[in-house]
Amino acid sequence: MNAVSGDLLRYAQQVLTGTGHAPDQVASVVAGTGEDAAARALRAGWECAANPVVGACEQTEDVS
Amino acid sequence: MRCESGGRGVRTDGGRVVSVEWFDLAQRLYAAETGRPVARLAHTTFTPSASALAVRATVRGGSVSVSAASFGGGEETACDEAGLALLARLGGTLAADTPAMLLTDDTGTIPALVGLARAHAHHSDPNISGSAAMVGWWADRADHPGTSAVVNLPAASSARYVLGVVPEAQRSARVWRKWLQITDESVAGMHEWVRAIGSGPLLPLLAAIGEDDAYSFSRAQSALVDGHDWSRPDNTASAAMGLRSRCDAADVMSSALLDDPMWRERALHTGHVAVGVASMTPPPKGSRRRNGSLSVTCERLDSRLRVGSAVTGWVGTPRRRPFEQFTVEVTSTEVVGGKLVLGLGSVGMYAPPSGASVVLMPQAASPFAMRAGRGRYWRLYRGRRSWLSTGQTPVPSRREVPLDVLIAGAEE
Repeated sequence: MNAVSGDLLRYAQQVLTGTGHAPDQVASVVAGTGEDAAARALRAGWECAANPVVGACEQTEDVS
Repeated sequence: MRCESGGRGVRTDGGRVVSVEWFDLAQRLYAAETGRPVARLAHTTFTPSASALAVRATVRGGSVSVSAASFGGGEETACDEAGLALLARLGGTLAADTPAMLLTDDTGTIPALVGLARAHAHHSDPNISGSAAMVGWWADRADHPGTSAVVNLPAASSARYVLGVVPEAQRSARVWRKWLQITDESVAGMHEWVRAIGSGPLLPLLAAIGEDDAYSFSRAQSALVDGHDWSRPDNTASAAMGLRSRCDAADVMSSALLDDPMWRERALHTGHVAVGVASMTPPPKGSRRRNGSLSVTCERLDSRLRVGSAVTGWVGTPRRRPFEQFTVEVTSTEVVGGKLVLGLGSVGMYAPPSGASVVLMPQAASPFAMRAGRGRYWRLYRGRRSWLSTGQTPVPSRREVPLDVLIAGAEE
């Protein structure tokens, strides 16, 4: 997390208050298996960021 | 309560945090770590245009300085009425065949332009008065979410991407230029910025807002030709219609965002999209009903789906929406054993099997029904006996109520 600015760290600290997670632990939280609400939401946001949808072809995808 | 767009906020007293804040925070931290903007949408929220006009206007000591650049052109600057003439020469006029898209990178340009335009609304030079009326049209369309007539670049960029900075910093044009590696800070550089954020297909429902842009432009052109004074305050009927039009655009925009697979993943954390396990109950024996009733049990309790709301659902995940979708109405909501159970009534085609993982979201808004509704309201507002147009508050009156209506009311 070397690129994280002080402002963003302070913001992250505020958002994570009460979760038991620290800003510098987020990478390990998303890589872990924690099932608390914060861990699940952090993991979902991180995975969505790491795996963006390119184009918009999903509309016609068939699940059957 | 501090809120991000689309979010539900973080209490500043360190209290409960809604999970979308954690979702967004993870995206900010990912962006910071990679040094690249993170996409929130696979779609774009506006249609890039070769006739776009980048404009920056500032008020200094009673004079308005206007800097503008058309696509492929350099920055030009002029003051006051010469500024309006500059806009007209670059295509920013109601006399043009098609509307020029206005690009801005601050929140002060439109108010500065409107002040200038009002001062010259009745100018004898048709280039200047036509440009002034165009500014009035831009200001009107800027209030419609999802418009492609006016694009505020920091706002449009924030809708599309997340940066590795605090939310407030995303309002800064300088911050966006740095992250998008746009070195040209002149007005002409806004065209490069648009290219950086405008790739991909348009959110499908926003095509209807684009049609409204075109229709509104032709109406404004006709009004100018007919001598209508755009700078006068709206009458009551026009103000009411303007409010309704803006509200409709906001509803279409909210609905349009849910067409995007990445936005749906985020919307799980705002409660706009729900995921749960389907349970189908066959119709009672002897019943004339052919379809079973569906209920969906959700782990999360924060769904915004309410009784009476129409929803669209499918088997699968928020990211992958298949062709096979069902539509149904929420008939009940209850918490059973710490889980939210949504009763959805009878489902016909594409009913999910029991045990399947189901995604639910609000049924898409219908821009066509909204447009028809606005037409109907416009006729009512313009009616000679309308209390809105006459300005007289209606007086309550009593009348006979048919017996069957009374009985139906009592049974309710």
